[in-house]
Formats: sequence, C-alpha cells, structure tokens
Amino acid sequence: MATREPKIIALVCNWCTYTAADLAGTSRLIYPANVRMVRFMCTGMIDVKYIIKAFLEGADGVFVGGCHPGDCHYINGNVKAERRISGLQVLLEQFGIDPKRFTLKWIGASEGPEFQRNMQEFTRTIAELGPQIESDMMIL
Amino acid sequence: MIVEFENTLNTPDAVRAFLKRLLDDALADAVLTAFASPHSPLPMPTLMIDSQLLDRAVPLAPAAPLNTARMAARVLSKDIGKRIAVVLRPCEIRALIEMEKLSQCTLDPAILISMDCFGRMENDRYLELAATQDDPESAFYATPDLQEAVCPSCRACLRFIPENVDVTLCLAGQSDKKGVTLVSGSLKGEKVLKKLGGTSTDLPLGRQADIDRIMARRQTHREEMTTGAAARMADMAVFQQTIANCLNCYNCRVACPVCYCKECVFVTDVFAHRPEILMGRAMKKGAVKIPTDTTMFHLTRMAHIAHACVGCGQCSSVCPSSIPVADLFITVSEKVQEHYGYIPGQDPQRPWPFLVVETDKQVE
Amino acid sequence: MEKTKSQFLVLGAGVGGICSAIDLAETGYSVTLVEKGPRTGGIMPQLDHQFPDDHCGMCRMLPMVDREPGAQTCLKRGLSHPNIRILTHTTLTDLSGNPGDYTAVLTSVSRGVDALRCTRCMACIDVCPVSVLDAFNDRAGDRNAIYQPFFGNPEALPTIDWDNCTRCGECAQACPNSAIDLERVELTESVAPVSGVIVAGGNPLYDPAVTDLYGYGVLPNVVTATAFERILSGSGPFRGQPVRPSDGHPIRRVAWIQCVGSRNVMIGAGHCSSTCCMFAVKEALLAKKTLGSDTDTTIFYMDMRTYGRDSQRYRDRAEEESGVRFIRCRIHSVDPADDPGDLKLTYLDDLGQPGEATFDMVVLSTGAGVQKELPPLLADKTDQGAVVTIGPEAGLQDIRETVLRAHGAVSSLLEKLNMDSRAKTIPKTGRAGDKSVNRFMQQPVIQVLVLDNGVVKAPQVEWPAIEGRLERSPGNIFVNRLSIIDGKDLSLELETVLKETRGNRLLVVSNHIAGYRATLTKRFEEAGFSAPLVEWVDLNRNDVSMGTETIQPDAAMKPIQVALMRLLHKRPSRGMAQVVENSALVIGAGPAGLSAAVSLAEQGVVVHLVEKEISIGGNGPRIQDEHQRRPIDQLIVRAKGHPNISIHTGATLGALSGRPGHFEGWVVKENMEIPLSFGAAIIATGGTPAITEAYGMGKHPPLVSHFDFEKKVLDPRFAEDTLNTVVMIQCAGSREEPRNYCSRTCCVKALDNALRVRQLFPHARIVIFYRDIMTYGKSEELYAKARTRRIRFIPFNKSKPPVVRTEGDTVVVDGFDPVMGEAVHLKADWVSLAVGMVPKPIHDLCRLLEVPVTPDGFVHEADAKWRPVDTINPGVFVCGLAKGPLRADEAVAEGTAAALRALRLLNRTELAPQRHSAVVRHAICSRCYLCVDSCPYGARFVEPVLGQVEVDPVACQGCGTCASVCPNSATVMGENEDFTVMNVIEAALM
Repeated sequence: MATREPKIIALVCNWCTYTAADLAGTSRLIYPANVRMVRFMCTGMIDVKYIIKAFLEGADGVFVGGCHPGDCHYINGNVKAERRISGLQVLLEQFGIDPKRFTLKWIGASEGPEFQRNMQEFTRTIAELGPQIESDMMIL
Repeated sequence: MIVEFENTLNTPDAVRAFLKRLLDDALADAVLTAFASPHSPLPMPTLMIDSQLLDRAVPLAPAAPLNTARMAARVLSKDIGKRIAVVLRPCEIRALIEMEKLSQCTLDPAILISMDCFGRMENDRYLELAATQDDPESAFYATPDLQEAVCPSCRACLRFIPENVDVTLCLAGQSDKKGVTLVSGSLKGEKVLKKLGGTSTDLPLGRQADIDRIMARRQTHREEMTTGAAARMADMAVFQQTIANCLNCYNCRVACPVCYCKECVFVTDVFAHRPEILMGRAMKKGAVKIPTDTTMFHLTRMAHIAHACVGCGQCSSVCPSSIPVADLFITVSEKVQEHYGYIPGQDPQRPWPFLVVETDKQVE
Repeated sequence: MEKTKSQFLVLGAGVGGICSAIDLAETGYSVTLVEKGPRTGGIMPQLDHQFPDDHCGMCRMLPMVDREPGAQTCLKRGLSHPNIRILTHTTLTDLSGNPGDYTAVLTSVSRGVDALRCTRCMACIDVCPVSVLDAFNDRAGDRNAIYQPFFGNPEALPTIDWDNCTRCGECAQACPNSAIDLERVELTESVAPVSGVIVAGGNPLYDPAVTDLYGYGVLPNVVTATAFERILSGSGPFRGQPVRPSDGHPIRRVAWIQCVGSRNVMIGAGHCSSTCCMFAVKEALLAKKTLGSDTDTTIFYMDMRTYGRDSQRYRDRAEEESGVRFIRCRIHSVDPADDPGDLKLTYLDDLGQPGEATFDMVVLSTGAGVQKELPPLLADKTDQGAVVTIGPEAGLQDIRETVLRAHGAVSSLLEKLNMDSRAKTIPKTGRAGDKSVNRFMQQPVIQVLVLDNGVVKAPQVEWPAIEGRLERSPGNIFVNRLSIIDGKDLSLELETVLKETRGNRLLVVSNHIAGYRATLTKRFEEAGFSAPLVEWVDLNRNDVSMGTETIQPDAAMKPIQVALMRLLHKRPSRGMAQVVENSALVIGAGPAGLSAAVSLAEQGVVVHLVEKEISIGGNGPRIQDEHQRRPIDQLIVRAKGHPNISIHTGATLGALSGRPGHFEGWVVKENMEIPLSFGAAIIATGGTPAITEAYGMGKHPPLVSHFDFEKKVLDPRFAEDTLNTVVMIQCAGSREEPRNYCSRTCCVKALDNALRVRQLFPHARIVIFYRDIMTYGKSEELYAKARTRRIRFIPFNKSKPPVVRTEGDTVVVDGFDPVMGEAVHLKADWVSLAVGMVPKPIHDLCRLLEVPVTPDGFVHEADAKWRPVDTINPGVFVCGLAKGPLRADEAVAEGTAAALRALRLLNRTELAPQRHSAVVRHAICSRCYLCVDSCPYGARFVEPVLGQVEVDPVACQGCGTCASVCPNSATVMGENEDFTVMNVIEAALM
C-alpha cells in the first residue's frame, strides 16, 4: 500500500467538543491538520451509517467527540451514542477495521488541551496503523 | 405440563390431529401453519379456519420458502379478539418475539406452537424429496442422512429447541415412536393441554440424548461455518470479493424476518443519489459503480440488526448470486450479541440493546 | 410587522443579566445588555463544573424554541441573540425620563482594537511584554495587557487592559493590519426610549486579602475556591494538569476552609453566603476526579448547609462513596509546615479538642464580599417600578436562585409596566413573501463570495487557484471575488453582486474576516439571504491552516466542499405553524400558584386556576406569622377579583391532550366535566408537613411538630402555663433515607419558636438538637441572635440522634453534648420536632402532563440549575413546594418566575415550524416506536387512529436521537438529513 497522509474525520458535538476544538485553536494548541471536523448538534444524532460511510469513503480513523455523561445539552444523547457505537465497533472489527481506528471520547467545552491531546494521540495511532482502505475499493 | 398425544398415529398425523383439535374444540379461532397447496408440495404459511383443510397442512415439512414469522406478524399486527395458533420454527419464534418488541405484532392473542427443529431444506431440495416420497415429513424424520441435507444455517443452528412458546412439539428422541409429546411452556399452553385431556407423561426418554447428539454435530458445523465466514471478511478487500457479485436486489433484506422496515433505507431517497452527486463521486474517484453503495448496504444492514439476527438463513437462500449472506451475518451477530449480552428471542421483556441507557450514566 | 419599539436595558451580563436579557428577548422585546467588564458570562466561564451533575450546562439557559441551529453554541464563548445587543466595556452614565420612556446614556471605553480590521491572529498578545495577574484565573495565573477575554471563541476580539498597558507599542507594530489604537477613547451614546431597566450587577466575592485571613496573599498555596477551580480547569493556568503553585509539586492533600468572610461578625460579615458549602463539596469531588481518587480532600466547616433539594444526597455521596472528609470545627490558623510549601492547619474540633493537619493546598471558601451600592442614578428610580434589581438584598445566590430571580425581575418589570406583551411580539422571519422563503423553494444555485481582506500575514491563500476550482465544481456555481480592505470597497460592490446574482444560496469564503461577520450577516439578510441560506468558510480556522505559511488549494477546498454540500441540501422547513392560545392552566392555588396566576393575568393571559381543596390559599392561611401571611392574603384577594382569572375549587384536571401552545382537557368538579383549552400549564400543587413516627411522634402528647408548636406558642393561653424545658429536635425523619433532603424551613421555624418562648419565659430551658443549622443568607442573623439568648444548641450525628422516652407522664430526652462533653437528660414540657415537608401526591397529574417525578415525589424540573421552573415538556412549568421544599415567600417568587417562563411561550401568536426539528415520513415508517422511546423530551406521540408517530415541533429540540435510532430514515432531521450528512462526510474526506 502506498503511504499517504492518514485521513481522519472527527464527528463532534456542537456544545462540548466543538467548543473545546475552538478553545484549542484560540489557545494555539497545535494539533495535526489532517483531522477534518464535522459538527453535529449532538453525538446522539450520529447514525451508524455515517461512520460506515466515513470508512468506505477512505477515512483511516473516525473520532467521535461529545459531552461528558451528564453534560449532554440534550439530556442523554451522548450515552445513547456510546451504546450504539460500541456495538458498531465490534461489528467493524469483524471486517478487519481495528477498533482503535474508531473511538468515542468525551471532551468538555473547557478541555482544549484534552482535545489537542486526543487529536495528537489519535493521529499517531492511525498513522501507525496505516491506511485502511485502497482507493479502488471506494469505487464500489 | 407434558402430554402424550395420539400415540396410535404417526408423528406428523398426530400433530395435524392436535391442530385440528384446537379448531374443533374452539381452543383457537384459527391456525397459521405450513400448507401444501394442490398446486405445489412446497409448504406455504396459511391461515386456516376450516379444520378439514388441516389434512393438507404439513407443519413438520423440512422446508420454509419464507420466514413465517413475518407472515405471523401480519396476522398478529393487532389484537382483534381472535385466538390464533401459530406453528413456527424456533428461529421464527425468536423473530416473532423481536417483532413484538418493535410493536410489529402483539402476541396476546397468539398460541405459539413450535417444535424441536431439525432444520429446513432449500426449496429445490425439498421439491426433490416431495417428488420421490409420499410422506416427505415422516421420511425426513426417519432418515438421518436427509437431516444432513438441510441448509447451512440450520446445520449450524444451536438454538433448535423452542423457547418462549406456549406448546412445544417434542420431536427429538421421537424417531420410531408414534404420536407426539406436547410440552406446555406457559399458563396459556397448560390450559390448552388440559382441555385437550391427554395423559400426563414425562419427556420422551431419548430426547435429551438426541438433543445432545444434534448439538454436538451442529457445533462442529457452526465452527466450520464461522471460521470460513470470518476468513471471507477478514478485511475489506476480502469482503469486497465475497460480495462482489451482489446485484443490490435486496432479496436478503426482504427475506429477513427481523429486517422489519416497511421500506429499506437503501431504496429511499437517502441513497437515490442525484446526478451531480454521482458525477462528483466519479470525478473524485475516477469511477463509481452503479448500483452504488453495495458494501454500505451490507454493513449497514448488519449494524442495524446484527444484534437481532435469529440465524434462520433465509438471506442466503434467496440470494441470486449465491453469496453466503447468512454465514457472514451469523458470524458477525455472534460477536455483536455477545457484546451486548443480548440474545434475540430469549427475553421478551428486554428492549433492543442500544436503547438501554445505563442508569448510572443518566442524569437523575 | 414592525419591530417593537419597546426596548429594555439590562445592566450586568452575568448569569442574572444574561438570563433576564434572554427572557425579555424571547418575550419579544429588544434588549441592550450592558456590561462594564470585557466579556459576558460573569463567573460562569471560570467554572467548568456545577453541582448537581458536575458539569456546566450553562447552554441550557438558551432558548429552546425558535432557535437556529449552529447560531447557538456554548455560552462561555459569548451570547448571540437577534434581539439582544451586547455592549461590553460599557457603563450607564445617565438615565432620565419616566418609566416606560427613559433616555439612557451609555459610555463605552474603546478596546484599543478595531473590530473590523483585526484578523484575530493574536500576534499582539504574543508580543505584549506586560504580565499581570489574571482576574479570570482569580490571580492563579498571568495574562498580558492585551488579551482575549472570551473563552475559546476564535471570533472574539482582543482587548487592551488600559490600567496595565504601558503604551509601549509592541502590539501595534506586530499587528499585520494596523488594527491597534493605543489611545483610550470613551464613546457616549444615548438610547431612547427605554421602557425599563434591569439591574443585574451581581455580587462581588469576598477578597480574603483584605483581612489577611489564613495567610492568603502570603502563602502561595492558599487560594480562593474560584482560583482552585481555575487551577483544576483544562482552560486554566495549568491547562488541566494542576500542580502546587509554589513549587510545582503534585497536589495530594487539599483542605477547604468554610465561611471565609462570612458568618464572622468580627469582620462585619454576619451573613451566610449560601453557596459556598455546595461549592466546596463539588470542588472536593472535582479535585478527586482531576487529581486522583486517593487525593485527601477535607472540608472544615461549622454547618454544612445542604439546604437544596438535591444537596443532602450529593453531600452524602461525596462522603460515603468518594471519601471526602468533613470535619466540624473552627480553624484557628494556617501556617507553613516543616516541609516547604506544606501548610499546617490548627483547629478546635467539635469536641473542643485541638487538632492539627498538614495539606499541600488550602482552599478558602470565600463568600459574598461587600455589597455594591446601587448608584444614586438608579437607586432614585427603583420606586418608580421600571428599574428592577435582581435580588441584591438576598446576598450571594447560587445559579438556581439567580435564574429564578432573573425570571422574577423580568416578570415584575413587565407587570409593572403593564405590558401587553403579546401585541408587541417581534414577527418571525421566514413567512410567505419573504425572499428567503422563495429562495429556499428554488433549485440550489450557489453564489460564492470570496472575500479578500488583503492582509499580508501568514497563512496566505492562493485565491485564483481556489476560484478556479470552485468554478470547475459540478452544479450551478457563480464566483465573485470582493476585496474588503477596511470595509471601504465592501458596500457598493457587494450590493451589486447581491442584487444581480442568480444564486439563491451564499457561500462566503474568506480569510481573517471575523470582524465583518455581523455586518455581512445583516446585509445578506436584507438582500433576502437569511442565516440558513448562508455558509461561511474561514480558511484561517486551525483545522485548515494549522501551522502552514500558505494555504494550499487542496486544503482549502476541503471545508469549501463541505459547505457547498450543506448548501446544496438546504431545504425549506416543513410542518405547520402551531397557533398559541393566550391562556394558562394553573394547578394549585397555594402561594406559588396564586402568584403565577395573578402575574399571568396581569399581563393579559386568561388563567384557569384549579384547586383541589374547597378554598384557595393552600398553606398560606395556616401561616401563623401575620407579617408573612399578608402577601398571600393579598394574592387571594387579587386572584378572586381578577377578571382574567377563573377559579375552580374542589376541582382536578381530568384529561389532557394537545401540545405546548394548545392543550385541551377538562377539569372534574363535583362530577361535572368542564372543558378547558389553554396554551401552557403551571404545576403548583404544593406540599404538606410530613407525617413521621420518628422519636415516637404521635404517641406522646408533648411531642408536636414545629408547626403545631408555633400555633401553641402564639396562643395567648400559652403564656399562662408554667414552662421549664422545651426541646426541639431538627431533621426528624428527614435528611436521611428515604426522605434524604432538607426541608429548608424548619431551622428558621425552630429559631423563631425558640425566640418567642424566650420572650415569654425568660428563665425556661430551651435546647435545640440539630445536625446543621440551615440558616442560609440573611437568616443567619437570626441564628446569631438566638445564640445570644441562652438557647442551647446541641449538634448530633445522624447515626446518634437523641432519644425520646417517657418516665411516667413526663417525656425525657437523652442526648450527648459534645461541646460540654457530657450526657444530657432533659425532662421536657414540650418536644417540638422538625418534621419537614413532603409534596402532595402528583404522580397521576404528572403522567397526564408528561412530566417526570423525582424519587421523593417532587416534580422533576428540566434542569435543576439553569431551567428551575421549566419541565421537559415545554408547555408545562412548575413552581413552589411541588418542586422542592421552600418558604412561602420563595414560593411566591417562584410563581412569578414560572409565570414569566409561560409568558415566553404564550406571548407568541403562533409557533413557526422549526427548521431544525424532526419530521416523520409516515409512508415508510414501520411504527416500531423506537423513536418514541428514545426521545428525551417526550416530543413524540402516537396518533391513535393509524398509529402514526407525530412530532410536537415545539417540544422537539432537534437533538436527532430519533433519526439515529430509525433504521430507514423514516424520521429525519431538518437540515441534517441522512443524505446531507453522508454527502458532507464524503466531501470532508476528499
């Protein structure tokens, strides 16, 4: 497989992790530029299809970031997401997608450094794992 | 309560006699069971009111052209005050219980009847059997070789003894015996058996040994199947080969008893891509296969219902490209079900696992 | 359809100010929110965690209906609301005129940074040589003299701290776009007409440096509670990896000292600051979470005032599950210990024994500081009724109380101004005839505006390459590049483009133009591009430009593709508008219900007041103290005589259907069913004294409740008897499971009774057994007074309560007095028990209203702190004892707060369908109802005929949980439908 920059997509909630990302930005906490962020109102609205889609579109890693349990703007969307995502992790593992490629983390609005740390660590992990899918598969 | 029923008749006839009694004694208003029409021996689920017609019922026929749970769910979609006895395989019972959790049916008016299941044959195989045998049911139960000719998912099925049913028809350990042993699994079932007035008895003597024997064989098959299937999806590249011939016909999802959507998301506008989107994809990747989203379909379907897969194998049976869909599904769902600690059809009270919010994490 | 002319001024942008500004704005008025400091939010952005869920939750204060997704974000970043104008660095310098028609003069201090020119590159901050102690971190960290005061908002402007700026000019030189002006300028503007003013000045915290208590300011490891929270915070000086300030050692042992600057008559602070006990418990738990669960956390206290409904359990959990230590004592001193940096505490424990302990850090629970006087300018006008303050008389308040007071202040202001708020509702955009609506109905054609501000600063953008790629993208796309240097060229050129474009959606691609955003938004709106039709891509965002000198077209196209994809999928909102009925149902006619009913009626709402008993007033008429009873008597009179209120006594709610804005139901009265329809409901069902068998209550006549004892004491015949000993026992049957909450009123009642007895019988022995005296706020003075009246206070632990027994006819109380170190045996004439309060049974009612109930049987509010009188049903509100124990005056205040919240809904003639709420596609819905079960707001219901799932567009908050459990997208989110999101993901992975 040809080496290429790892492609990472971060699906983050509007209220907590997105704010943390901005906080990291304004605090100039550098994190790798290959993270593409897509904002959702709540992690609870992240459908399993989105994650499968991301992997099939060539994502080497999918990061889901939401509010800490108890802090969800929508009461408990985050823990519902956790439950659903945990099963998907098991499922994708059967298809050779390393569970490390697909992680869910709680990052609160004030946790800019935490966001940076997570992005750095996740990118490192994904870089070590290498590319997930050959581009010719994405045709299918 | 355990009752020995009609020990002068051979077993399939005894079962038919039991179903007839349900109608004749007004223990049920209707019976839903497999019925061989005058036009073909292939048994079709049929809702029967006239007990005379039950002579043509073949509840024990080792064939199931479709998963009867879906048909039963239609008849039971609403309680209309009629008691309906439904004769289903254990996998179909499990599917029906899952359907009730999804408000697709109500089991209140149902009398659930199931049997120790030796499996079903693929349709063409059964038609062959029916063409050569006058009584394919009895022939099947009397011939261990035939029992090996069932479809791959049945050969790998470990949950072939009914659970959560009102009446079980004991077939294991029955091979050379006459009649049928009925076991009640609920108060509802016990009432039926009491009114039937059979003689109380014990479970057939050889039943457990027979079950153990079948189980051992199936475990071997299952291991073979899951190992094989795991190798066919070990990574995305291999998986692509496995499903390369998929035509996006969605037969698998139509046949699936727990894929309960009225209309699959893959035929809705969510995946009806507009030309500019298709062009955009083609531009990006150099080419795009149409029909699109084949891999997406299989993975999403698994993500949606792997936790509820009952392992009936209908998906494989209906695949025009002979993709072993069921093997893959059974292998994946084993892991997913283990993860959630969820066994479909086992506990009618238990909600779908991803709906459960762990209480300690919930805001009080 | 003109905007209302009524505008209000809110002074102070802390929690109370923001809350009342949002209340006014949502009730339909325009608001100018004036803040003296550099930012909004008050203390909140400094705190990441609040009791009881140990998280922030400030965003829950934001409007739940009529919100635009994406416009709302974390409130710590700042507030944005179309009806609220925010002025920081601004003070009110004059207010003249009459109520309803004031003229205000506002004076703003320049920030030294031009909002338009500034690119938010923050180069100025990097070069500033000045370092000052950062007030944001409560002096636990530094900042420069030019700094960014908003929390993590990449669009916020840096600002110069004039007091500390040396005018060295380094920043001006570093600025790539000449945005800095080192001359401090004051600008004055006058605002008129102003209908009313809300003063939310907040309460300063006590500064322990003033009195040199416990080594604060001398010993670096002695910090205030706020500073400690900053030290623990991810956004604080240690960026989430806290160490001891003096030497960077790990923090293993932390002590909290309570009542610093409170409950201390010697320094003139006789009050209790009400909030610090829970703050300390929360902080101890937070410390355990951040520093490790084995961290020694010890709270040194006099009384743990856990008087909130959920507080006692929280404290118990902290102690029993997390191992937070609680030591009742008085701290003598804090001194340096032998090891450098360590601190030694010496104290007298509750047995009077001296104790000593060593800690890494000592946290001072500083309470309220010296109350700011209201400036004469405003003080003069408070009598006129149109200048309202948010409860400064009550002293420092926690979030919940502040929010309640803000609601109450707005309510009373509107009531006094006699506003018929409904007539003045601001019309909503998005109606037929609006250009935006037409544009939504068209096939997407995208106008791209490439805005180049010409700044010569990395990262640079290769605009032509990007333009070229945009033009080659499939779909109908038009690209124009505009130069916006200084905003000069913006006006004409932009106008031409907006006028002549064939596009019906806008994509703004830019670099460093945060300052123009507000202006541009307005211009776009005027040109018929409402917010949802516009997507913004700022290439200077860190995920695009991180660490690069030049932004490559490839990198730039990623966010552009995402935005294009979003625009291509924008669709008009669906669903029908919900007509709002301008009437309310108030259930329960006690102090809270009466207050809510009268408040609503005064503001033109038709009120159906339903009371189960045959007379109205609830517990009100049973209040013995005439002074406390009078306001409730007045409310009874007002309710009875009010033309907008119809009272149904001896009646209960029989059935209910409908949605927020329009409910229908009937009340059952003497077997009659009276049909009612209303827009909102308020639960005010109240509570009663608890029945308990604790201490043998009910078995011996001398054992009475505080309520009955009060009646006896106030009876003139009481003085005629002889009296030797009265024993009072607090927390009888409460503050332990199963009734593990404080009833809030009993301590004051006991003190009142004790003082009355003392007056009648100067020589009687009065003994109060207590666990913690809950005299929060001003009532602390009552406690101090009682202490000087020879009333003996004996503390006890819940595991060792006093024992009540009989000796013949006499009742004896056995206990142990730890202070005197002796057992006591008291032959009592009376034993008065604090039995506490329980709510009326409300389960059936709450089921009808689809509102959850707490394990103790109280109504569960939407959020204990931020939405204290809301329920998760947006058409149902709650106040009074139904929600938790409180005093009658507090119940009255909650009633007005609940009325205001209901008014926010009722003031609208209709509720427009939300762009961001869920829609069900019935044709493909399989009726599995997973969505109904998973909806956290109960916003989904099953229509009974066909079994279709219906969505209440008002209750739906757009969280999308339903869409993600629906396997075939039969339920979809406006704006975030599956195909949109998946195409966006695809675009993001280009």
